[in-house]
Amino acid sequence: MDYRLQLTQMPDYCRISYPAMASICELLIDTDNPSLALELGELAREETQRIEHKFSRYRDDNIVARINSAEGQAVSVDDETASLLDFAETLWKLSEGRFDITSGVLRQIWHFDTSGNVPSPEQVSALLDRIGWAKVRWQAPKLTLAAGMEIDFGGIGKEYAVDKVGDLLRHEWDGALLVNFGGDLRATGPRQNGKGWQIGIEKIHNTDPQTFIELTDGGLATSGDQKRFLEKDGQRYCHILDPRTGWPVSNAPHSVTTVAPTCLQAGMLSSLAMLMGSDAEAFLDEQDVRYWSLR
Amino acid sequence: MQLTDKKLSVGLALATSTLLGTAPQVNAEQGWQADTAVLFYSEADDRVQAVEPALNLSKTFADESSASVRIVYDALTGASPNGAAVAGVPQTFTSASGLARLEQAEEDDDEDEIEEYGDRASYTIAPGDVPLDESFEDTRTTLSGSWSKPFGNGYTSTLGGAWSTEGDFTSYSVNGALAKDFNGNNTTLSAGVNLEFDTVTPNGGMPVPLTSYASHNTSGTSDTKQVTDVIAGVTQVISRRWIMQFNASLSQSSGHHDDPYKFLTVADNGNLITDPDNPDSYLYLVEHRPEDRQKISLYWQNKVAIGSSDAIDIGYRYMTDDWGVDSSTLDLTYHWQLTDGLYLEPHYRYYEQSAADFYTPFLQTGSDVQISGNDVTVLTDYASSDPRLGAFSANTLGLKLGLALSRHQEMNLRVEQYQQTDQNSRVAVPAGSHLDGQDQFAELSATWVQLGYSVKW
Repeated sequence: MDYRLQLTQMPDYCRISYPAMASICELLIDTDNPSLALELGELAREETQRIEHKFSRYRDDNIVARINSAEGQAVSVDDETASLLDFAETLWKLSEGRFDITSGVLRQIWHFDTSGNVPSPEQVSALLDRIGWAKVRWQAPKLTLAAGMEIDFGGIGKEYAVDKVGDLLRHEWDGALLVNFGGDLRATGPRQNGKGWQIGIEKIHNTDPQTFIELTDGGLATSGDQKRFLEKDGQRYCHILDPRTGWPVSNAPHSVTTVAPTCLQAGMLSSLAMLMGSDAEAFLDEQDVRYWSLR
Repeated sequence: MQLTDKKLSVGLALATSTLLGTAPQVNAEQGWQADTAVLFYSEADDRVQAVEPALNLSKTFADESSASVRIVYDALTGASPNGAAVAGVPQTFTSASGLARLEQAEEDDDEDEIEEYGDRASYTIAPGDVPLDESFEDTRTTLSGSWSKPFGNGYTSTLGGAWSTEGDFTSYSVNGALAKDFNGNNTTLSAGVNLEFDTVTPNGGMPVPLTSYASHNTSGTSDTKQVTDVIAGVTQVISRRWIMQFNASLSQSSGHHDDPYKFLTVADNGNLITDPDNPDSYLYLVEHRPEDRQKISLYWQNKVAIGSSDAIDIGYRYMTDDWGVDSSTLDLTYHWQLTDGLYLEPHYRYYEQSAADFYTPFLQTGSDVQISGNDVTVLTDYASSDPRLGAFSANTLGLKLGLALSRHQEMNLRVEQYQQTDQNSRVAVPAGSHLDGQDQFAELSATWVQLGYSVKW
C-alpha cells in the first residue's frame, strides 16, 4: 500500500480512502463539495494515524511498547490510555473474563494461517500463566503488569478509531457521513435525501443472496472466522480464542454482524457473541441487539 | 447460561459513553490564527479621537505549546482636559509642548509648522467651557508577545513581554506565569508576575510639581517608574456548563506618577488669582502624585453555557489602593448564537470608583496654598484634578455582531457607548465668584466602533 489518500467524487457523495490499521479506511461523505471532503478526509487520516501510532502493538516507541517492556514495573499512563484501560477492565468484568486485553500473547502459539499447526495442550497451559486481567494492577494512572504479560488493544483499537474519527468529523461538520475501517462502521445521518447509508453484508458463498442493511445513525461491526482459521482433522478452529482456556471457541457462527449506537458497542457485542459459541444468537437475542449471523 | 443478563449491554453502553465522552482530540487545532481589527474611538465634546489598527498572530504547535505576537498602532488626536477648573472668565494657557514645538519650528525656520502650531502653543478657553488642551496629538506603537508551554504533570508555563512607545513615553515589561491542572483538568491553579519599566520624557521638559504652570519650571527631561504585579488565581469547572474563576492580585508601582501636562487652578474664595510670577496668567500649579502606589484587586468571573450554543459571561472586580481609590466593576456579556454563522453579543458594564485622597477639582488659598505677597507656599503634599482620579460611575452599553464568512474566517463589528456620571461631593464656593455655578467634573462620554476580521489556517 503506497498511496496516502484518495478522493473520489461520486454523483451524490464523496469518498475518501487511505490505508491504515492494516486495512483500507474509507469515508463516505454526504456532500458534492470535494474540498470539504478532502479537508475532512485529512482530519480523519491524521486522527486515525495518531491512534494507530499510539496504540499499535507493532511499534516500539509508544505507550503500549513501554507498558509491554516494563518487566513488572509500574507505568504511568496518560488520560486517553487510562480511559481505554478503564473500558477494557469494565468489559472484562461484564463479560466474565471472555474479553481480556492481556490475551494477546496467545498469538505466540496460535497462527491462523489456514494450516494444520495447532499447539499442544502443554503449550497452551504454559501460556495461561501470562494471561488474565486479574493479574494486573490498574490504579489510574499507574498500570503494573507482571513480567511476561502484555496488553494488546487489537480487539478494540479499530472500533475505537472508527468512533473517534466519527465524533471528530461530526464536531467539525454536521452533515451525514459513514466511517468504514475494513468492515467496522460508524454512520452519522440521515443524508440529505433523507435516507441512510446502504451497507452490504459479505457473503459466505457467491450464490447466497446479497443482504443489504440501511444504516442511518450508529455503528456496525462484524466478527467472523471466514478468513482466519485452522483446520485439523476436519475441525475448523476459528481465530477467536477464549482467554480463560487459551483455546478457540467451538461452534461459533461463521460470522456475526451487529448494529449498535457506536462501533465500539457493535464490535464488543459481535466479539462476545462469537465467544459464546453455540449460544451466540441466544446471547444477542437476550441483549436485544439487531444482528445477522451466518452459520 | 452465562451472560444472558441484559445488564451487559447497558453496562457496555455506559462504558462506551464514558470512553468516547471525552471531547474529540482536535489535533487539527494546530495551526495559525490571525485576528485583525480597526478601532475607532471618539469622545464627545471634541475631546480625544483615536484610530487603532491591531494585528494579533498566534500559532499552536504539535506539542500543545503556543506562541502569539500582537502589534497595535494608535493615532490619537483631539483635546484632553488640562486640569484647570471651569470658570466664569476666559482663561489663556500656553502649553509647554506647544511652545516647544513652536520654538523648534522657529529654529528650523519651518513655516508650515509655525503656522500650524502658532496658535496652538497658546490657547484661550471661553467662560464656562472645560479647559481642554488641543495640542494633544500622539501616535503609539505597542508590540507584545507571549509563549506558553505545557510540561510535566499538568503544568503550563507562560512567558511574555511587551514594548510600547509614544512621543513622550516608553514602556517595557516582562511577565511569567505557572499554572497546574488538578482533578482531571477541572481545577487549575495559577500564579504569575509582571514587571514593568516606564520612562516618561515630556515635551518641553519635566515640570517641577506644585510650582507655577505659567513659569514652566523644569528639572531634567525624563523620569521613570517601575511596576511589579503578582497575581494568583484558581479556575474551577463547576459543571459541564459552568466554569468559574477567581483571582487576586497585588500591584506595587514606584516612581514618577504625575501627569506632566496637568495642573490645578488656585482659587481664593472661588475667584481665580493672578500668578505673582507671571502677571499675564492666572495662578495654576502643576499637579503632583505620590511616588508609590499599592493596589489590591479581587476578581470573580463566571461563564455559563445556555441552551445549545449560547453563553453568559459575568465578571466582578473589586480594586482598592493606597491612594484612596476604591472601585467596583460589573461586566455582563451574553453570547447569542442566532444561526450557525451569526451571533450577537450584547454587553453591559457598570463601573464606579471613589476619588483619590489627593483629588480635588481645584486648590484653595488658606487650606491648600498660602499666598503672602509674591510668595506662594503649597501646604499640601499631593494634588491632582485629573478626572480619572475623581469619584464617578460609568455605564457602558454595547453590541457585537459576528458573522462567519467560511469555516475559518469571521468578521465582527462592535459598537459601544460609554457615559460617566459625576459622584464627587461639590466644593462650595461663594456666590458670584468665578467658580460659582460651574461644573467641577467633566463627565466623559465616548463611543467606540471596532471592525474585526479573524482567519485560521
